[in-house]
Parts: sequence; C-alpha cells; structure tokens
Amino acid sequence: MKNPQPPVDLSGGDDEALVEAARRDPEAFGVLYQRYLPQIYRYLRARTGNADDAADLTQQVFLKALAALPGYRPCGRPFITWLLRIARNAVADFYRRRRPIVAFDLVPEVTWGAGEESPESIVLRREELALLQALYLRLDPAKQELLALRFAAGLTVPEIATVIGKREAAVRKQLHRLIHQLKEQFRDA
Amino acid sequence: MTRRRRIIEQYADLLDGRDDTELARLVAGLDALLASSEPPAELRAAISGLARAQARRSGTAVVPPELVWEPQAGEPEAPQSPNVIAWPGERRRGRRPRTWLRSTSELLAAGMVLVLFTWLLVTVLGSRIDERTGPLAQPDPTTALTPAPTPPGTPSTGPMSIVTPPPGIDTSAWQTYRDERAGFELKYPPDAKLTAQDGSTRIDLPFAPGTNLVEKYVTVTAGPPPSGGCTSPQLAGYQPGTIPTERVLVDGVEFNRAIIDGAAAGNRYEATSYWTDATGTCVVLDFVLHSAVPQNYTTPPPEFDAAGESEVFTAIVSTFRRLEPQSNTPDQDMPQLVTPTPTEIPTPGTASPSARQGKPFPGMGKMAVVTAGGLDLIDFESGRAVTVPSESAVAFPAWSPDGRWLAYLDLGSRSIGLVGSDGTPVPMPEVPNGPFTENFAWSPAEDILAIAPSNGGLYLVTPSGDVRLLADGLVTQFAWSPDGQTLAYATTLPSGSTESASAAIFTVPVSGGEPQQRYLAEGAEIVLAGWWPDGQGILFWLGVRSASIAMDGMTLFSLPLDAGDPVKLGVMLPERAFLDWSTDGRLVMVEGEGRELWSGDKSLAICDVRAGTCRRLPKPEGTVSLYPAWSPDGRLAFIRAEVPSQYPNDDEALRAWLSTWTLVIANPDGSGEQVLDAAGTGVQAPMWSRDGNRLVFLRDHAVWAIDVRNPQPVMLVELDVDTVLDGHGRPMVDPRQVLSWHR
Repeated sequence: MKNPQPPVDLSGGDDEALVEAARRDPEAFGVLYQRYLPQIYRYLRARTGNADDAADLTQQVFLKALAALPGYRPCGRPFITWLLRIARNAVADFYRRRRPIVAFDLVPEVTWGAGEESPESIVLRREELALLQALYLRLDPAKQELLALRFAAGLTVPEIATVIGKREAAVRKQLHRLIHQLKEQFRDA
Repeated sequence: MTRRRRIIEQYADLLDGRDDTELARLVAGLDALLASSEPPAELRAAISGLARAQARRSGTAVVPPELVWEPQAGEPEAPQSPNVIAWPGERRRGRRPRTWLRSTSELLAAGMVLVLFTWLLVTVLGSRIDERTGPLAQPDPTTALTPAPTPPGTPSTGPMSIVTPPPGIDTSAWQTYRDERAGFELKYPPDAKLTAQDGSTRIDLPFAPGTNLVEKYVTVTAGPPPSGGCTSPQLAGYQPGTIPTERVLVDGVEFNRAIIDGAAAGNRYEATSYWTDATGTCVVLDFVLHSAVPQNYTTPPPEFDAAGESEVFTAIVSTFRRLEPQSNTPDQDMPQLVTPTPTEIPTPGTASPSARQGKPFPGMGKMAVVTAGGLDLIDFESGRAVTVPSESAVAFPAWSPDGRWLAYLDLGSRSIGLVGSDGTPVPMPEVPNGPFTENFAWSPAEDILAIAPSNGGLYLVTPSGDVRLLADGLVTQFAWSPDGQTLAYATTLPSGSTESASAAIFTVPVSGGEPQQRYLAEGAEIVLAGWWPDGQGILFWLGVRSASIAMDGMTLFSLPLDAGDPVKLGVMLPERAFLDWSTDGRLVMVEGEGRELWSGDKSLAICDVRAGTCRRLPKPEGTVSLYPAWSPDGRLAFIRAEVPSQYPNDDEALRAWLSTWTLVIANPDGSGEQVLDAAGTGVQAPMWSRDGNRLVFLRDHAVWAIDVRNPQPVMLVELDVDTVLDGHGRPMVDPRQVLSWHR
C-alpha cells in the first residue's frame, strides 16, 4: 500500500503537520501511530501488567484516537499527552469492567548480557526485578501511574503534568519523593 | 551507547547528577521493568490495518477541512469525545447541532439521505403505522443529518424507519426477557443463553459453525441515563458525528441506531446498537458479531454471512415492547429463590432493596454476593435482600461471626470497607500501611477484624473504631486460632537477597504481648494453612523460594505448639480449599503434585495431624478428587473429575474437562459413595449447611443449594462472574472472592 505522505522523520517534532495530514487522510495516521506505539504500549503494559491486555488496549486507544482526530487541537501540547489521556481512560474503563486477579508480570524474560555485569553494574538480576515489581505493585494506583508515565511512556515532568492535570512543581516533587522512597525499600528488602 | 550511559542521560532529572549507585540501580530497574517491552509485530500490523479500514469506511474516510471543529471565540477548545477525552480543568462540552455543516457536499448528502428515508418510508412501512406510533413528522434534512445521539428529553422530529421482523423468522415460540423496573420486554430465541454481567444481561445466540464467526450476542443494558446522556457504550470514545446515527421506531418507541466497527488484537467486533430513553430509563441493545480476522489462521475459514447472521438481531429488536407501568405480582411458579435477571444498576450512596428479593429459605442463613455494581446482602431467613452500591469493584466479602457486620475489599481504592447487616456503610477506622489486600479476617469468636496491610504490620480493628497494632513486620498470611485468643502469622525476615530470605511463623495473643517465634525456615517459603481445630498446633506449607516450583506443590507440615518438630503430612498445592477439618479433628487434604488440577493423581487423604500419619482414600482409576468439605456429621463431600486423555490447551477443552466435575458424598473411609447426579456437572466449591442436610456449590456462574436427602438443586443467586477455569484447570474465581456465607 502506497503511503501518501512524504517520508517523515520519525525522531523529530513535526507533530502538528502529521496530525493535520492524518485528519484529512486516515492512512497518514499510520505514521503518527508508528511513532507513538511503543510509548503507548509500554504505558498500558505497565498499567495492566500483561502483554495481551496491553495489546488489546493499545488497539482501542489508537482506534479512538483515529476517530477523535478531527476534533483534536494541539494548542502547544504534545500529541503524546493527548494519546495518553485516551490511554488513561482506557485503563480506567478496563479496571472498572474487569474482574480482579490478573497475573501481573512485567519482569522481562531476558535482561542484559553478562558482559555488562561489573562491580558497579546497574544491571539487575531477574530476582531483583521481581522484587522491584512487588514494590511497584504495592504502590497505590496514582503512584504506579506516575512511574508508568515517566518510565514506560517516557514523558518528561512537564508532559506528565499536562496529562494528569497537576502543576509541574507538584509532579516533580512527588516523583522525587516516590523514587527515594522506593530506593529505601529496595535497599532494605 | 552503553546502557549505563543511556540511563544516566535519560533519567538525569531523577538522578540529580549525583553519584548515587543505589538510586541508579533503582532507576535502571524501573527502566528494565517498565520500559523494555516492545510492542509485538502483529500489533503494529493490526493498527496499520485499522487506519486503512477507517479510510475505506464511508463517512469518515476524508474529513474536509471545513468540517474540522473550530472553537468559537471564548470557548474552550479540544472538543474530544464527551466522555473520554477532556483536558483537566476544561468544561466538558455537551453535544450540540452542528449548524456549520453547510458545504455543498453536505447538502448533497442530506438530499441523498432524504431520498433514501423516503424510499424506506414508502416501501417498508406502507400503511402499517397504527395509532400508537402517531403521525410521522415531516422529514427535515438538518435533523436527519444530526450525527450525535439525541440528548435525553429532546423531542425528535426527523424521519424514521420502523423495525419489523424479517420474513422467515417466527418469534411466536420465543422466550421473553422482561425488565419490569425499566418497563420493557423483548423476546429471544429459545436456544440462546442468558448471562448476567457487569450491569447488563448478555444473550448469546447460536450461529452457523465453520466460519470465522466467534461469538454472536446481544447485551441488554437498562438503567438511569448516565450524565452524558443515554447512548450506547459501544460509542464511547468516538467523536460525535464520526459514527452515523439514525432513528428508528419499534413498538412506537423511538430508538437511535448506529453501526460500529471495532477491532482488537486480531478480532473484529461489528456492533449494531439501539438505544432509547423514551421509556424514562436508558435502554441499550448492543448486537455484536465477533469474528476473527483471516490473518489469525494458516488456512482461513470462510467469511461468515453477516447479513444472514444479523437477521435475528432485527427480529429481536422488533419484539421490543414497552410495559404498562404497575403490575408487580411475583411469579408463583418461579423455581428460583432469587430473580436472576435483570441485574440491579444501583445509584451510588445508600443501600437499596435489591433485585434479588425472593422467597425465604429457612436454615440457610445469609449470603453476601459480589455484583457488578457492588454487593448484594441476601437474608435467606426472611427472603429480604439489599444492594450495597459501590463505584469501584469489590471482592472478598466477609461476615463477622455474629453476622452483624460485613467487611470487604474495595479494589478501586484498595481499602477495606465495612457495612452493617442492613447494608448501611460503617466508617472504617484509619489503619496505616495500606494499600490493602484480601489479607484480612474476622475473629471466629467476636467482632474483631485482623488486617495485615501490604506495607507491614498486623492490626486489630473493631467496628466501633478501635485500632491496635499487634505485630510488626511484613505479614504474608495470618490465621485466627479457633477460640479467637491467638493469631498465628507467617512473615518474611529481612535479608540481603530474595533467594536467601527466610520465613518464620509467629504466634501472638490477641490481648497483646511479645510475638513468639514458632518455626524458622531458612531460605525457604512458608505459607500458613491454619490451626488445628483444638488450637494445639498449626499447619503450614513449606517450599523453595521459587514461585514456579511452588506452583507444582508444597509440602504440608503439622506443627504441635507444645513441643516437638513439625511433621510432614504430604505434598500438595498450597490452597486452603484443598484442606478441611472434621468436627472431631481429622484433616482431609488433596494430596498430589502438579500445577494442573488433573495431574499428579490428586487424591483425598485423611490425616492425624498429631501423629503425622495420612491415609489415601481409594478412588476410581483415571479420576482426581478435589475440593473436599467435611459435613458436621462426618461425611465427606468433594469434586470428582476425570483425568483428560489429552492436555486441554484451549477453552473448549477446558470446558469439556470442567463438565466432568461431579459432586460426590462418601464416608471418611471411602465407603458409601454417592454421586449427586442431580447437582449436574461442572460443580465447584461444595460447602455444607450448618445442619449437614444441604450442600451449597457453584455451577454455571450461579450459587446452588441441594438437599442431600432429596437431591433437587435450587439456584440461590446468580453471579456476575464466570465460573471458568484457567489454563491449569483451576477455577478463575476463588469463591471467597465473590461470596461470603453466614451459616
């Protein structure tokens, strides 16, 4: 299938032009979506804890985004923050409808090569990651969300503030406190 | 770039530029946990396909720039889907007529729609309009094009088609589905299957096999119109106007109709939604054809006949009838104690009479049941029931020993809630170290709740508001002694790493005092199983510290508290439902390894816990025995299942396996066996009534009772959850999660 869009630099800005193109031609949406798929998918994976639900919700998010695109107005906000607002609502719906007891598994099958291990290595073993996951699961949903937005979706603090509707300073402070609290727990565990 | 370098750059704001190795390790760990997964390739392909499908779909393929919503001066922008995307702090904008649709193409389209409607009126309706429907209003091109659902209460004046049964479908022998509160009824084919689910009823319809069609069903939802107006949940997330909506007439009632195409992970959902608030409640009928996309198959089956399969939908809609208000005489012939449908959609706030009112059932005590909208408290002695509404999902209801209180876990806030037996909310005192899990339990002797929050500590809480810390540390499980005087708990001891972590069992008097360590397992995992009935000892499972190995079984030990070492009883899956006590202090356990319930020759064994001796009960070849329950007069009830000849690796095979589960009663030596055929197949979780005359069990997402002297099952309560199995053949739903029976 021929892509009607000229080649687009997938790393740079250019969101507004892409949105404009996608509005007129849903096929151009493919470019937008390729750019943001990993972030949205990881965010949903972090919130649902498993790959299948994340894949399902990712599709729903892009389907909704595509349908809602004609009404989208950026106004200086990054497109990803708009997508993430759709994603957050999808997660809220998911937990409302869904029955409890979901196998939560974020620990990657393969971590990193042994060659990277060194005395001051920052590479963690699977067991340590499992422990960290347990700590993450014990956090209340708002804190999990903060970590999911910062790490899984890769947002900056100002972007997180836009998504969750809080002041930047408050988000920064909260994130900082949370990271240090986790550090203590991780060390003591 | 090395991983280390990337972490330092990417998370510079979190690392503060300091050389803090611990912080760097934590951040690297979170990165590995949360940011290392890649979306599967098929997901990319599926979403590309979505964009293309959307492009082909009429009406939304190309949105001319003049149709793009431009905010008016002084108005907030971003009019996304009304219930899905609103920026924080922004007013949610209601739907409004799009009067700016004035381009030539729009007018042309309007003309075509008008012609089409006129044709429909002439050919379909003919002269069949009777007095009930009233004269049809003059067609109006502007309202005919209004894409959004009609807001509640707005008089509609556009042209409408009338839904009539398709020729060749005779609905006269169909079953009736009636919702008296919402004031309507409709008919459905007799071979359809009704299921109550999250606030709605689902009717699964038969369809022609051998195609890519996976499911065909209708969901019927009725309740007060939500704040955003009455609309189909299928439309959630769509910008008003992107899905064309038309208005149709059924039995004089005006419905909106829309066709919505959705897709998710290799599946396609074609929904035709009908909704109306003309009866005062919001009634939504969603007809869904769920099919698999051909890419899912190596040799794709033939595409299903969408038009043919949809005919029955039209037939069902055409049977919709508005009920006259009044007439609420209960059906005297109802075999059920409780009306299974429709499910109550409660308004949050206070307890209200539940849909599950019914005839009294003396001797059965009362039951709390988790529903889609909260909890139902059913008093079988009086036949009365109340609904405790909850906005978030709840689980693990638990009656206090005297039945005055009910505690439950709120899964939204992960807090513990408390209500009186009449459903009145009781303020729960503040307990630190939340969030909370199902790790809470009432004392067997008095109204004291013990709670082990997930961030440590063991607390005692009374409904009157007292909170007391009884023990520190991370309590993994705890158990009340039978006399309610002592708590035993298992805890993980602090250690350098998870593998070498040790676990210990402590006991602590409820009156307070220093916890006493009873057993230490170095580098091993302990799961507390409970107390001996005389309070002289404790049962626990011991296993290696590896979740995957523990899944295949742990060793059950019996530990006398007065003296001596723990004695080994056998290897089994660490499930409390696989143990039960007789009134004279004998233990029955399900012995046998293997995570699959059908594996490891799982058998019942009767144990003397002090001597540490167990005796396996004989059972027929090729079967397993599961979920034992000891009656007050010393008989055993349990589930017998056949060992499948092939590993059941899909839902169908698992269902087939579940259908071999039967309810059996036997003497404790295995003699006098009686299979309760009347209970049916697929029976789960047997529980005895206090007098030992009845058994209560789960089957087909409902709770049933059967009198063992005169076996005739009676449905007590329909559940909003499915009693299905996971891949290892275990029920997905632990009965404790969804119900509490005060016997």
